[in-house]
Amino acid sequence: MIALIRKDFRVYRAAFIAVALWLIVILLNPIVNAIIMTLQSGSNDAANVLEDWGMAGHWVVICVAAVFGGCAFAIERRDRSAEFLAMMPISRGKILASKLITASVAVVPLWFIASCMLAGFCGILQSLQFMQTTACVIVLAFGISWLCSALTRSPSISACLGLAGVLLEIVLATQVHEYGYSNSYIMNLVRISAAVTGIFCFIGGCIVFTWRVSP
Amino acid sequence: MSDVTEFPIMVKNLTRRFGKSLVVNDLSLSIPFGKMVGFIGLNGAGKTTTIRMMVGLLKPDSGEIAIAGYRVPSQRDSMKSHIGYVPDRPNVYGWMRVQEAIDFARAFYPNWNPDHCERLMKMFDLDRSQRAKNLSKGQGAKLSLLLALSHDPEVLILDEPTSGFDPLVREEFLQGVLAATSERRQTVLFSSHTLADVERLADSVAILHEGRLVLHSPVDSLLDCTKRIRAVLEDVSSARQTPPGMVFQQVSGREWTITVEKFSRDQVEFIRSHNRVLQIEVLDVSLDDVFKDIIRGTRGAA
Repeated sequence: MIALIRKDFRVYRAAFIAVALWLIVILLNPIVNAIIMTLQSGSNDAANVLEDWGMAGHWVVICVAAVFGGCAFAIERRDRSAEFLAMMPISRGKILASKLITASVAVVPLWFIASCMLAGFCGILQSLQFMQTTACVIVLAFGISWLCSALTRSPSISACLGLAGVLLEIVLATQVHEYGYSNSYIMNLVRISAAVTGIFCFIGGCIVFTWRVSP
Repeated sequence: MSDVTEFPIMVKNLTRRFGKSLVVNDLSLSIPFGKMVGFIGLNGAGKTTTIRMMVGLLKPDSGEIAIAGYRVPSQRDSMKSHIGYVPDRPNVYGWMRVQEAIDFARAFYPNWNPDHCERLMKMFDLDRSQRAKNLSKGQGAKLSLLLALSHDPEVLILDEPTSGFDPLVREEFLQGVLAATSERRQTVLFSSHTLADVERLADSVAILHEGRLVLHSPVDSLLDCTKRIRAVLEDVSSARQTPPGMVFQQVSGREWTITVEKFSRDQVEFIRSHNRVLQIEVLDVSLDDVFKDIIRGTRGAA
């Protein structure tokens, strides 16, 4: 299992580098800005900056989730290394677990950091709804791109379809809003539909990968 | 399916279509324990498709496959510890160094043999620090062979492993296969376009044409029993009576060449007695000639 996880970290290396760069932008930039602002004026501007970056960070995590989901199987199928892996006496369950662990290592801490930034300066209760919503949308983006990755050999198309799913969710929420439903009702709807769709897509991807004979 | 220990490779009524194209057509093949079989056919004959179905990389439309006693694809995960597979193009992760690829594979095979692996490393003269993507085609194939052999598999399946190799690398690769398999009675199926390799290595040969197995015979008896009879005709325009067991015939000017299977002097006498021939002689054939004539004969019959 450790060999598999090490391999997946290497397969995802480009995505991990991108995540690291984003992390630097999300963390260092606002923190430096906040320190400068606090030193200069001592006002609440620093908190506002961190809050903005915390919110932006959540959107970045959604993109990261789509990228990691999209890379899951397609990247190995594209260069035929999936066949090399398929010829090893490894159960597909272990391969799935390794990929999920690797993607989680990137997505979960990033979401946690962005959430901490938001909660630290807006308060947990105020930011809880937003955090829950983004968590569900992350599940949606990851689930769709994971399923697409199990079906195609293009990581970029899979990731884009994951993001397209998120956009569709936003468009649908906007449409529902126009019918006069309350914001809390819409947010609940978004959360439930995103999480359910994402989980179904994720399970679908796992089933496709486990049952298909050609890797 | 039975006789698993006797026949580590068993395929029965295997069929596979791609769209409307029937690529493998009702193929049945059993390879006895410890034998090396050359799997030959023209491009598109269905060799790679058959092999990919055997190793569980492709689902057959119908038919049964049992490799090393495991049904494929339903028991493919259990089968994998018992087979070695060398694909037509190396598919090791390009970013892996040779040593990394070995370490990675070793982690999953309980019966990995490090001494054997080291011997093969020396034999193939592979650079441990080289990345797989930077290896030449020959070295990539050697790495695939090393990974396929180092866990002492019962069955070795090679899919055109030497295609595109220069003669020296091909020789080194074949020596590796011979050395590795001769000391461990492995059952080997290898497809190749280089019939000289098949003639040299294989105990028997299986010829595939348009998805059908047209011949499966020991190489020695095939070459002993297949002959080419060359007759000089007295009159080209007269009708020719072909002997029983004819595989292929060709007329060029007054020269009539007939390839026959299960050769006997009776066939020569038949030609002499039923046709007006001036001269007749019997020639030995190479595997290359047999293959070409069988394919031409099959095409002619179709």
